[in-house]
Amino acid sequence: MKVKNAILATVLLLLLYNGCTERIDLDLKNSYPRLVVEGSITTDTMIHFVRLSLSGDFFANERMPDVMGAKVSIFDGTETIILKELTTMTGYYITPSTFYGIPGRTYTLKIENVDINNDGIKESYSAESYLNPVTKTDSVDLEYENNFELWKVLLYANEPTDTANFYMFNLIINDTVYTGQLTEATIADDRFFDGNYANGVWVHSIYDDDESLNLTPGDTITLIMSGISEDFYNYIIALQTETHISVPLFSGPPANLPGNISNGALGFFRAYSNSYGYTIFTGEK
Amino acid sequence: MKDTKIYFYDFNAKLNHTINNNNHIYLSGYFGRDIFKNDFSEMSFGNKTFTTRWNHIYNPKLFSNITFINSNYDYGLGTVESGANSFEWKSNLKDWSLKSDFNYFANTSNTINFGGQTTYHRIMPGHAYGKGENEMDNEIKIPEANSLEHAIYISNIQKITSRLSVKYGLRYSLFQNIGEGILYHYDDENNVTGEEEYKRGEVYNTYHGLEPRIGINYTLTASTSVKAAYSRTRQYLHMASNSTSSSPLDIWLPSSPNIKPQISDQFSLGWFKNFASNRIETSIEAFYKKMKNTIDFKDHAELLLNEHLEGELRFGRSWSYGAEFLVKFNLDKWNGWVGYTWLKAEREIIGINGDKPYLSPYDHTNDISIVINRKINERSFFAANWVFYTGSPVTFPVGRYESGGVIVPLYSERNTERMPNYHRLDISYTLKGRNKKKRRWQGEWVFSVYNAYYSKNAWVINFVNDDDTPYEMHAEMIYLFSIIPAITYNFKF
Repeated sequence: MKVKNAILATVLLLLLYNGCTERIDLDLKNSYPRLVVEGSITTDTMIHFVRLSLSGDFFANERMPDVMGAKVSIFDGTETIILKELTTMTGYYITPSTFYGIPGRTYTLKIENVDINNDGIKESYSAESYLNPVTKTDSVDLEYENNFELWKVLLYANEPTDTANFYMFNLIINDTVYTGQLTEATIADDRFFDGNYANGVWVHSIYDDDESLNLTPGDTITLIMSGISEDFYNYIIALQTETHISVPLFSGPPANLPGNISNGALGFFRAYSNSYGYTIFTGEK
Repeated sequence: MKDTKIYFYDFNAKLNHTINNNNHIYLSGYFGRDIFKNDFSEMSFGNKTFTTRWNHIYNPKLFSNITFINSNYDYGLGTVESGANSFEWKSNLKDWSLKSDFNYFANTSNTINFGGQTTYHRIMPGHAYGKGENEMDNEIKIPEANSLEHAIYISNIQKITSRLSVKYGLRYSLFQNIGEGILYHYDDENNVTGEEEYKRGEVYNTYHGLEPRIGINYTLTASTSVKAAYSRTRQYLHMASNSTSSSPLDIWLPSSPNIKPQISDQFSLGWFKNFASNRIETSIEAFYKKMKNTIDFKDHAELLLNEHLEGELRFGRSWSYGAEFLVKFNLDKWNGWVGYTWLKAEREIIGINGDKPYLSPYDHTNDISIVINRKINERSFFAANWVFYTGSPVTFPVGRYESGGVIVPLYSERNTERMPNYHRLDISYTLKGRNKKKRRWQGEWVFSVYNAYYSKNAWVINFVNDDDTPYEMHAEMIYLFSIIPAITYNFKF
């Protein structure tokens, strides 16, 4: 929705210019530390990891503490694997590099042997995620958009009716992840395709004026299309909403993200399938 | 403030015409507009009202007022230049009302008031369109909502004894959604399941009901009286306000098959006493109000140009209670008033805050206002007013965590925190022109300062991340008005 984005951008600028913006000291209340779980299972064969950390004060202004010594396991309906705790990167628990997720299975994450509330009694947490299949990417193309000075990443793919209904798109440029944060991923539901062939649908953008990128002809652009669950789709929308600046009228009331970890823990454990498409940047506008 | 121009103007016109002793026509118009403008964008909002009133005296005991009112509130936002990305956005609320009101002095102990009214509401929630090259595919228009609101009423003020008087009345109101319009159907999970279009003038939904009221006034002594009252009202138009801040850019929603009218019952009890031969009036009033069908936005609601806004609403009940203390004084050189209100306002909405009650955004615990006028001489006076209220309840973070590569706020429950308190002083000095008999018009100069001590009242508080230091967050407020000095010239003719 281009107009919506233009309006949001204008309102922000208008407020920043018309209103006066000033830093203020605000005394926020604090909350007790909670376990935070970040973990993904994908169909790619690679090391998959789960990161365990704690929540902290809002103005803590430092990396959140890691949770070490936990027993982390993943059950795929038939077998359980125990994740290995890394000593080099604390808080990270990894699978073997031969691990991959299988569409149609439900993955269950279990975290044990942790005492987040320090009461001397160990707690356990769990989460489940169904791994949806995803359609194959036929091809990827780039098209320059003059008005917004950006490269549109276009997707060509068939949407079989039996695949996932929710999608996440990420970009890799050469060997570097371009959309490393969930706030940079784009998402779509099946209304986007309407059950038809996606014939050059605009799914992502690369900004021309991004100096850190310095796109040159010959660069490889990889589009990852992921079939995600509806819960994860809603989590991404909420995360993107809550981490943007809020504007009265345009922003609804703030609220916590709908995570999927049991026992009051925060974060999200997700399983999804990936489909890759490539194109070479030529620089022709 | 960087190169921002703020200007506002209002224009009032009144015209009275006496046809004969029994027929008077009053015309009045109001036109006001506030504009904020910088090199890049412009925001404005304004109100236009036109009123025609015909006062007719049938006999010394009966007279009537027939009034036609047309009002138009609108706001707009847009870019100044017409580049490829330029756009304009408009929204307005128009009303056309016809009212007839009769007063009948039946006898010394009964004064009867009755009448009826009809209003046509036309709401355009939002229309945004690009003004650049791709204007055609860049248009979003939320369908207009049309509705009619009718009422008939009768009331009587009855003096039962020299000390006791009772005012009682009954109002019947009827609300109709009419075409041209689109009605969206939602399922239990607030997903759109279908839509229906209605032709111009077609009535597709009706609500109606009675609104009784009664008030009892009892005089204890020559300067003391007590009052008790009850009233029920039905509200068919709803202001959908984001609970963080109020702004001129609020969205108005009519009742519809998806939004029931809000019904409120209010009870109040008051005590009034005058001093110094009625030059000082004091009062204490306590009230309790309970409302059905209160609306609020769900978590993560999408408000911007959303044609399915009704699906973002959740419904429940609300209640408020409080006490109001007022001292009014009218002395030779000084007049004004000091008011204090203590208020508690809560709501309970299914699907919000785990269905538990929470504070309403209107819960301003302490509200103080002081208005003072000091007469200097026959031609000039000085005025000051100071307002203070407890900051609105808001939802703020009480913690943080890392997810998806970003810092995510962990929020309190809905509206458990507060915006900073709001306070402001405005002062003015008025100098009237000399009374010259030949001059057909009268003028006065007003020198005023809005927000005289530069109180920075937060409008919005955002929590932002510093680009260079990824783990650092800080709070930032946006305040809209600094000190605004103004010189106004008013004239009457």
